[in-house]
Amino acid sequence: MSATHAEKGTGEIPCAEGEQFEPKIVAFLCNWCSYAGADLAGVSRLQYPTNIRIVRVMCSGRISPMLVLRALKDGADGVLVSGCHPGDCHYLKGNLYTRRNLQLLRSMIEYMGIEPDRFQMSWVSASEGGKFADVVKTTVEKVRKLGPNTKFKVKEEREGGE
Amino acid sequence: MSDLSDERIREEAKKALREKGLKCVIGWSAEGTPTFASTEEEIDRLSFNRSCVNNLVPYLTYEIRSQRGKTRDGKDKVVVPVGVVVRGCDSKALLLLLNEKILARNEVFIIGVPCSGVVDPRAGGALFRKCVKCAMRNPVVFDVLASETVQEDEKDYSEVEAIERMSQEERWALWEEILGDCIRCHACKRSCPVCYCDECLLDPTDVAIKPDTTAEEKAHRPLWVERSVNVPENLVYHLARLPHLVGRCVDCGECERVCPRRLPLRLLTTKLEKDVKEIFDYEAAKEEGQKPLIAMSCMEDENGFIM
Repeated sequence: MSATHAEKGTGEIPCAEGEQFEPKIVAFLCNWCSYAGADLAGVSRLQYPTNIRIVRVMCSGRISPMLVLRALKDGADGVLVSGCHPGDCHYLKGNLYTRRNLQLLRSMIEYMGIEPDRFQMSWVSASEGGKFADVVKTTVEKVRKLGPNTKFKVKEEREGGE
Repeated sequence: MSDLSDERIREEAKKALREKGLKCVIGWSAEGTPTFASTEEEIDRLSFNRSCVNNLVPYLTYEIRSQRGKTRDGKDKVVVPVGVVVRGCDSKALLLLLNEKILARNEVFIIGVPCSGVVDPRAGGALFRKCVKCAMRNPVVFDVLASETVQEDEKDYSEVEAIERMSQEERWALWEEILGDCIRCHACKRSCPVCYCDECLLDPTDVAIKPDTTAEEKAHRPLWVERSVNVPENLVYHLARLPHLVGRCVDCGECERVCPRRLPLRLLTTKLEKDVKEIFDYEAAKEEGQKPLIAMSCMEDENGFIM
């Protein structure tokens, strides 16, 4: 919530003619695995796109579908949720609950005609810095292909630009 | 339906009123109006026919939960049991509430009426769309059954499948039109038998105010969905309602029935039900004592789209 609100003021990333669209992606990372994985990617100096804004949460089980929807509504072009591998959750089962919930959310998003690729999920452990960099690269590539997120905008704003 | 089942409803209701000391029996009058009958004369007005469209379970939940609380010496208040007349789809919702321990089995007296469809007053004498092909015509939980069971159909997913086959642009065009029509009156969540929270995060004005609620608390509620009515907010509202219904929605079609804009909201809940069935092989309110889908440990689930 707080991160998306903070980003609200900055508006769209300007995208001039011929320039590549740079998507803005909110990444919810769990404290014990994925955040440490992202840290490791940084420490190991792996290159990955700078389009993600990380929100650290204690467990991926904390990610309610509301957070994903609200991030998209508040102007994120994509959302990435990442947690520990199944079975490795610090709180034993948090990621399993999230997997159930968000899998259905993604299916419903698709059903309502929104590009499902805007919402990505991954399991990244604390030792997988390389995987984290790859996940971010794939996510950014996929969302870049989709273009700006317009379906969560009021029609006038969508047509008139900002 | 015949007068035979009416007779039976009244007879059983009277018997239960006498023997079990029910607070009242919730049923329909012959015109289809929800009726609270607490005397034998009032029970004589109960009936069931094709114009009985309301799902009475939300009334039942309210009747029982409003009796709960503590007495002055800190003991639980005694809940006077309440009787209710349910159709097949209503009984599924009731079973779900019993499974979730919102209601206790000994607090309710259930008169089941097998139903072969009710008439949509807005469609000029035609059956409700949900009733044309219905897989839950017979009550699944009841104390007495008012008439013979009827033949059930296979669950019909054809409408959902038709939308699934559309291209993404077509689907968005369809939903954008539907969502553009929504006035967010919240009737769909108000009437939903399985939405029983005292305060709802989807409605910023819906705050359970107690004597000790401070102004600060009221002011600092998170605003998940803003109050403006436009396509994106409506989209978030309808999408956010669904995760709360995962493995709980019994597809009774009450949301669609009460919608003043006549939005086809069952297209969403039926799809959710279909997904739950296909991905997790789970059906809401299938049997007594069933665990909720979201509360089950699930190491064996497919990883699906997860990287």
